Amino acid sequence: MMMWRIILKSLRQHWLSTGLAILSIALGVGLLISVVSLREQAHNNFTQVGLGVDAVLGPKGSPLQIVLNAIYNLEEMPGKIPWPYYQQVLKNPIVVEGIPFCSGHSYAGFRVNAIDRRFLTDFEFLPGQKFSFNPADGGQGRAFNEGEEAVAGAAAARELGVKLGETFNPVCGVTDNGPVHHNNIRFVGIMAPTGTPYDRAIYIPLTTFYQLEGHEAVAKMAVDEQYREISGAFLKIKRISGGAIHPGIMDLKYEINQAPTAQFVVPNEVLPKLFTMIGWVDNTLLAISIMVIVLAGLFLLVALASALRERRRDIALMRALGATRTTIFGLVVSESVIIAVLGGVCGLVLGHAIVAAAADAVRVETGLRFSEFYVSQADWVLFPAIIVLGLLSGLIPAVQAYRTGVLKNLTPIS
Amino acid sequence: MRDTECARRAREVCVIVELNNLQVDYGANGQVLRILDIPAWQMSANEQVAISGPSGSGKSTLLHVITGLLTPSAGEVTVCGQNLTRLGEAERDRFRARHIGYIFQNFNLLQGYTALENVLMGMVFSSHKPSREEAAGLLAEMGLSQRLKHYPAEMSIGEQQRVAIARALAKKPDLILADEPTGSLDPKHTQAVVDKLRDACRDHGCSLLVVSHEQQVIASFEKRVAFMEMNRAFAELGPGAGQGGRTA
Repeated sequence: MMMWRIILKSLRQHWLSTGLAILSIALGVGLLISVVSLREQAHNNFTQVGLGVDAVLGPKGSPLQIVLNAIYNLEEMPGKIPWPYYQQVLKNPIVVEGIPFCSGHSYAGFRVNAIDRRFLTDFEFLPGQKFSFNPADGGQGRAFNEGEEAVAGAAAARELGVKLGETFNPVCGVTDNGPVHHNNIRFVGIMAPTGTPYDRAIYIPLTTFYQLEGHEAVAKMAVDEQYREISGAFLKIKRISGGAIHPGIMDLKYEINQAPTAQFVVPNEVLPKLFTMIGWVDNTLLAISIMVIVLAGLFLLVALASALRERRRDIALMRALGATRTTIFGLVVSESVIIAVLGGVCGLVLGHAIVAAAADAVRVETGLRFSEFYVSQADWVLFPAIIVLGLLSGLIPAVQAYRTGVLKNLTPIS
Repeated sequence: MRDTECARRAREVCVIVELNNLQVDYGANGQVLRILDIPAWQMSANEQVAISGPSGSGKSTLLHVITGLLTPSAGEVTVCGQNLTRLGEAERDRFRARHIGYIFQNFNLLQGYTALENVLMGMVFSSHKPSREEAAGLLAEMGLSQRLKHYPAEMSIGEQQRVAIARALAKKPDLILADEPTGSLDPKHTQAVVDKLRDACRDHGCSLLVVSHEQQVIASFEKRVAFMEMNRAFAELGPGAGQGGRTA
């Protein structure tokens, strides 16, 4: 019988306290793993190369509001910007391309964004990845042309049960109780899933937006660019060697932001502020998880110490058979570490299961992509940390075992 | 018969246990109580010796000193040529693990372990590699081949004591110490266990030192030592003698 058999035997003998200690550690670790994983993935989702957008040209107002509206289909645009001003910005030598859009309409809870067709054909929502209508990728149909045509993002299409050829009537405003436009806009395409917020919107041609029934006041915007207004535009900025954004972006940003007409918003600068604003929430969750793990460690300590009271005779007997104090100390610490590691493994599985469950819910609600297989910082530090937890929790019981008197716990002195 | 380094050394010196000016004192309520006071005593290699004496006379304390579990207040204890009083606690533990098998007064089997596992436990801390086959063989020698997977609570007291004997033999010790090995047995089983113990020690080449207050046990041994009164007098008795004789 090897030492590990003695350890396993002891764990089996105290299966209830062992099981509860493993469970409590698993809960704490699972919570911590899931919180850190979701936090990191949320951060990545909101900052992944601006989801293809180097900068947003938008109206004056809150930069965060502009980014949330333009990219995440949340909030509302604080105003409009004149088309001529947008054209002027496009002439800047570091602006490679612009994709104008108008937001502010919806259908059945999904935003209806009017946007330039190049968004569907040329725009890279992630480096090297363009929208696809290829059935092999999960798409259907084609990009819209001019007229009363629309395409649906994958999540919107799935939830609305969109079929090609069906029509819908967009609603003015981002709530369902706005006035309905009686244009029958026909779905001609469904975009393949991208795992980005772009999946959760419906897209129509920009010119169609100006010609919607009830938009008579702005109809001339469709034909006369002099009067045209847009909610904003996605801007692609020139790159320098190494793929970095051209440093002239700072001058451009200053120039636009000094003007009274529009503002230049860089998503990667704005979104971290969002995390600062909501950071207390995940810091609180993180603190709760760490507290649960510390409590689990204390529970382990108590469980081992209480099991030790029943095992004094066994320990004394092992000493009498020749086990040194150090051997006994090692046995108890090993038990503690094994319980902690088992709890850690269960917690690892639990944590990723929580992420898997949350990922589905978040994907449905936001279109953001989370993966249960994502390896977070918590995964990397888990096992070293859990071994330290096991060592610390086992220390006091091990010292008690180390000091167990042999004769006192065996035969009385005759 | 095995020929371990210790056994070789013990045969060379012909002495397996040697006590010199051994004294063990206990302090209680501000008073010092002398539990043991043995000027000199030797036990030869391969000998089988019984120690008798009334309850509280220091018999078990003597065994604890010889195993190294208890440090004497004065004097020297030499086992297998190794002076235990010069060793640290961990060294004494390791020495005990390698050279001394101990059979306890109250059997002291590990209750959560089967008979086979209890015997294996006797090997774990020694320098011998634990072997299930050897452990099963020892239990078979004790007539317990059908009880390998039984827990102590499922065995009779006599069977438990035979498991304890097998465990003591498992580490292939040079010396077996047995403290009241038949304390809980009826006369019939007492004789059976004593015979089994003596035969096993002979077969395995171990010296045997038994402590008992039972006349039946003492009478089975050719060499006997008696505590004449409370710890003060330690006497060797001849074969067939009662608890009297010359002072050592």
